[in-house]
Amino acid sequence: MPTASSEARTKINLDALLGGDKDEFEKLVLQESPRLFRVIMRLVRDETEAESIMQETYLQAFRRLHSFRRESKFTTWLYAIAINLSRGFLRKASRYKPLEEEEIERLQPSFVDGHYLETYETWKPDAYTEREDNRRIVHEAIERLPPDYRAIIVLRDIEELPTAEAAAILNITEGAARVRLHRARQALRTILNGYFRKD
Amino acid sequence: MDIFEKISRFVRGEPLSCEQVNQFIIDYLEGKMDDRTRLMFESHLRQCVNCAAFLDQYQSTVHAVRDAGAIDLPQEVVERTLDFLRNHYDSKS
Repeated sequence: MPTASSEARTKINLDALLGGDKDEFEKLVLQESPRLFRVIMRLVRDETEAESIMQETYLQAFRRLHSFRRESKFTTWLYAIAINLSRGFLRKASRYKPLEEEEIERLQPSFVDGHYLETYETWKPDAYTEREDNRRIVHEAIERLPPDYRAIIVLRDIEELPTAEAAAILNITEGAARVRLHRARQALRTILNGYFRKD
Repeated sequence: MDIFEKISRFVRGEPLSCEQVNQFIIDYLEGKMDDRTRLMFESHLRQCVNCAAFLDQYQSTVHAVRDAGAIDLPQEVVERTLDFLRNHYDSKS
């Protein structure tokens, strides 16, 4: 059996893949799983559930290969399936209580006559270093975002996909993706400011 | 000030307000600004300590999120996924 490390950089033959070639499909699984698992994990925050959603994502993709129209990258299509399945899980997960849209609005900066209502200063120098407690704070902040906001943050700022590709995965316009990303970042900034500001 | 007045002032070359600078942050960070707007944006930042500090916090947020992203995929998850697929490739949905 090929391993993740030996096959990670193998070029996928898209024609064979779309023709239902299982070996080619398994190359895709080996190549794409590290990133796909990361994205799903960031959304659902549960390793068992993330594994299950990843498996279902691949199975749905395999069964629907005939419906891929080559209008986007294959991985864009694959990630759209994963995001939709993750959203479905989050809708049903009673323990998941994200912020409401009105709360996201309250976390945006306010302006009066074009000026910020608040004053700001730079954070402590070690605010975003990779310290474990800081990571936990950041993860918990991301978890509070509604699924649509969390998804754009994961795709754009964690996986560093181009905004256009993130927009295609989420099936929204690039302009809508930029607005959502800006609002998500500003909401996170407000939450993190409570921890990282100089006192 | 409504949106039409904001656009009108911008077109006339009047200095950007803090609110306009905020709305341009993503364009600025992604390098998608025309030269004229970028110069106006940077000119505002040089003169406005509050906007400069806000932008610094905004960029720190992006860095903090990116740096918190590492998750390793256990090899056994890949193997279980392949086993799962081999058991389901030919089954009906």
